[in-house]
Amino acid sequence: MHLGYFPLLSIIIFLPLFGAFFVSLINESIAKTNAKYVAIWSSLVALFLTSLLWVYFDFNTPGFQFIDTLSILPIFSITYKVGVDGLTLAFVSLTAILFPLLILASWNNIKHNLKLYVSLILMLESFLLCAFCSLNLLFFYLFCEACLLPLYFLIGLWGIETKTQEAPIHFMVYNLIGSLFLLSGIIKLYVEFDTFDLQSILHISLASSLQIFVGIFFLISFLIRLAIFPFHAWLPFIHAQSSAPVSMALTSMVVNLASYGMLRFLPTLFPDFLKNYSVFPGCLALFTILYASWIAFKQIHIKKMMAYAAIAQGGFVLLGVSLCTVESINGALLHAITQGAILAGLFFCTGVLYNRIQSFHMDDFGGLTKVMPIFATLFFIFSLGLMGMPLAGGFTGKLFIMIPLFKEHLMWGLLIIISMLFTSIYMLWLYRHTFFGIITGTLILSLKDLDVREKTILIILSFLIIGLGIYPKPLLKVAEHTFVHRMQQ
Amino acid sequence: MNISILMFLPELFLLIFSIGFLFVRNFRKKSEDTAFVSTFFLPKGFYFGLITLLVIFFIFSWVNYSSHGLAFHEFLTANKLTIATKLIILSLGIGWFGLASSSLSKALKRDDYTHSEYPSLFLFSLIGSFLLVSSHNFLSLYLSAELQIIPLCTAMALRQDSDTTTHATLKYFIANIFGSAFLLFGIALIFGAGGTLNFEEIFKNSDWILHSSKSLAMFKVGFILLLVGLMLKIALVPFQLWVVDIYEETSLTQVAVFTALVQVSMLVLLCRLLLKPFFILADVWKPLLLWIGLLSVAWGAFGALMQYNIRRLTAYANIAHMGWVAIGFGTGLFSGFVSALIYLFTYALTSVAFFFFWTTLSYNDQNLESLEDIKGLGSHYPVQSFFMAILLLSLSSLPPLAGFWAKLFIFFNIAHAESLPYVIFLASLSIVACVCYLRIIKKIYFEESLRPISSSYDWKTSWTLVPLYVIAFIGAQNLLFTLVKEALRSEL
Repeated sequence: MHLGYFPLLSIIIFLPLFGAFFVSLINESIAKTNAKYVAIWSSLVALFLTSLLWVYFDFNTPGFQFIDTLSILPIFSITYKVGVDGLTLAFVSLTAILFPLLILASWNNIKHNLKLYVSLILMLESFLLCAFCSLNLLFFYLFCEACLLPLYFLIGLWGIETKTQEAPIHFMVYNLIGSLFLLSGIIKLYVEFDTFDLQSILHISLASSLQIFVGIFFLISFLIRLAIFPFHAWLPFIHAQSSAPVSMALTSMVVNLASYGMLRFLPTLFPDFLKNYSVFPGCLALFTILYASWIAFKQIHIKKMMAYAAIAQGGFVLLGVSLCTVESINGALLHAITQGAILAGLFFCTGVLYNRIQSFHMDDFGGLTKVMPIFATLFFIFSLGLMGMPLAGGFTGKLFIMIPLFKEHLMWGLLIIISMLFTSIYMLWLYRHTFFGIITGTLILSLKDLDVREKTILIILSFLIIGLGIYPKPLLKVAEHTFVHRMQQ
Repeated sequence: MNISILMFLPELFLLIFSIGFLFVRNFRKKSEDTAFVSTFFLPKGFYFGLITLLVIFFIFSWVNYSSHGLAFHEFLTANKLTIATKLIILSLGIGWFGLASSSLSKALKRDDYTHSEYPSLFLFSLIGSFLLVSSHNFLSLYLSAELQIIPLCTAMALRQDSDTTTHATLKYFIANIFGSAFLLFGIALIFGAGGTLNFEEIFKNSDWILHSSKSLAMFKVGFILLLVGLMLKIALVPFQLWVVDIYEETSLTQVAVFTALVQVSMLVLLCRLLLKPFFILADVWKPLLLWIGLLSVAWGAFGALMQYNIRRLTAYANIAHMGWVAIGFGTGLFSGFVSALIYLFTYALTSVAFFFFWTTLSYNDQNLESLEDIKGLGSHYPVQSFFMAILLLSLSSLPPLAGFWAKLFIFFNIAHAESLPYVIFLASLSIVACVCYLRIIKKIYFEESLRPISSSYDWKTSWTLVPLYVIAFIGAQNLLFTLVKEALRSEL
């Protein structure tokens, strides 16, 4: 189907920003009730328009579609240019689905500055969408950085432990260092080709030395943002001090931005670098998966455990990219998207627990199955997803990554199996400790099961991951649209 | 009317006004000084009138001057660059006193700067800045530099009951006198080498200077001494130590004036000097300014990191920002100069606006000094805190605010002129500086209030426009870039 000239993508991108602006104009006296509705409607309309992208997207035409261009500073070829291909479509859809849930997740939890909170969330959505869709390297960098600003305030103002308040600064420093490498790489490309236009650069075959030079910068930047060992220390620390909705946004989308960056740039712009030096990112990925799984196994702080689980899942994406085959990269994309949904669900579950008992300590829970049976069931579905059980979402991506891994490096494959075993052990151990066993106190006995809002969020997410587990074809279709064509080139 | 006088009508206006104020003051009792400052000198309508008049004049001049206009026996010049700079200095300078009257008169009273000479001295300094920017001769350069500094020192010294202010004044005076001495010595040697003090003629004599090794050596030494003089006045590494104490010990209102008048005019003058009389020494000044800039950025960034006093923090940050401008010049590229000027103007605007918002805050009728003092400001004054945060984020160069674009242009030029390691090194220093600003925002928003802060901020001031401009800069940058390029081209 043909859409004609209609700036659908720009409307999707800027609609949440417009919503944020509108929220800031709402009178303080009515803001408490209205701001939330404006936010959820903005994000729902953005979700609806994103579904139109699927309708009008032509899977038979390779390359970017829905391109919108606006020249901002011709002298440095700084142009606002957005477009969508299969890869972008997957990440934009995930963002568009998760944001209404995220707003719903914080529906009753924000006690102060609701207007500001809602505006920041909508701004974050807009910036993220722009980063995903940007076809200008500078704008990609710019919006990667811009995403940090709303998060800085979201972590600082609505965080959990407010005694030291060092978390926002840590977050900014780590991510700014990551951005530094990205910016340096982008400037180097600009100096070489005098353009930031991604489409133009994709048509140029980069010299091998340049690929190595710039590829290293891009890779380090994404390693830091994806919290891969040895740049992982910030993520558990930030998660421990963030509220559940912010953690959802942080891991499922902002950290996933690094997954997107890796998938977008490394195999297509720097294939020689990836083929010749894939052993380094590969080793890092492998070590990260093992190390993060082991540390998660040792945690008694539930949210930190989830954070380490997120780090390990980031390792899988890196592993898929560094193997540099069509299957592994398809697998990395599948994994990034499904794990985004699974981790969002798990972080929301930690928020559900914290809202009831004000603790993340595993010893404070026990026997929850008896008092919260629905919650226990849904939590188990997400745990299965994280473990990579068949039909529970996480399986297909891991399978696609492991097939080429076993083909090329059998020993590595075996190590990954061990790490998956670790994941299963710590998730089952967490489940046993928290949901089974005897009820530890009267506080647990008085707990109520999920309310309608919480059920809605978790059921939608669990449908999503089970759906992707049973029928991953849409994601495979978008991956095929992006990578098969390009990798064959 | 004489064409020279026509070109310098704004200076003439300001001169008449400043002398007029001194004259009127003589007919009033000393006890009425305070009332005089807050009622007569600072009515908003007067300033709106003055600014409108001068802005119309400058726009008219901009449209009509396609090339140089020389005046007063080629002692002064008027081109688009000088006009644009004067416009910036005017809006920062007059805006500082005129359009923010109610808030600032309280700050002036708090600092005991209610003497009626103060406004006139400030206007004299403004005239000095205008003339400095327009200098076309080393003699007029020296004289206008003195006209700029001496009234400022006198204004600082008006507060007689404070030891720290006297100390700061003396320090400022000595630093500037040293600067002037170097400047004068350098000018003498340049005259010896070039046989003239006129910028244009030195440029024309460059073949002759290059021909004789003795002249060239003398010219180089003269340039170095002149550069040292200017660096002392701008406060660039290694002549920056005095500025931190000045920032801490003098009135906040003075600090803003220092940035708005002295640094902007001196750096634009430096830009003009590099492009004209010292163009032949490009091989000397390019690496020199690049390294001065690098060291200044490093010194400023790491110095600010451990500061808890807001004034000392901004002083170190100021050194770093001046370093960025020097780096822009040090690239030696035309677009590098354009970027440096955009950076300078953006920084001056943002920094002075931040000082405005800061001066409106007080506790028990005392200025706020340390970072601890502003804890919890965000919950008490959300609008003001939001504006301050925007300004700080722009100063820390986070996208998509104005400061980010200004710094990005400089990065592009360094990458073109030098190599990528410079970019990486500078970008890492930029992160260090960013952390300093984020610490202030952290105090404003994330920590609980310790003391009741009062604010005299009223949104009906021109300074409210600056944070909005900082956000909307992305839409204006193309126009700004074209204007600055056109202005700089008129200098060539």
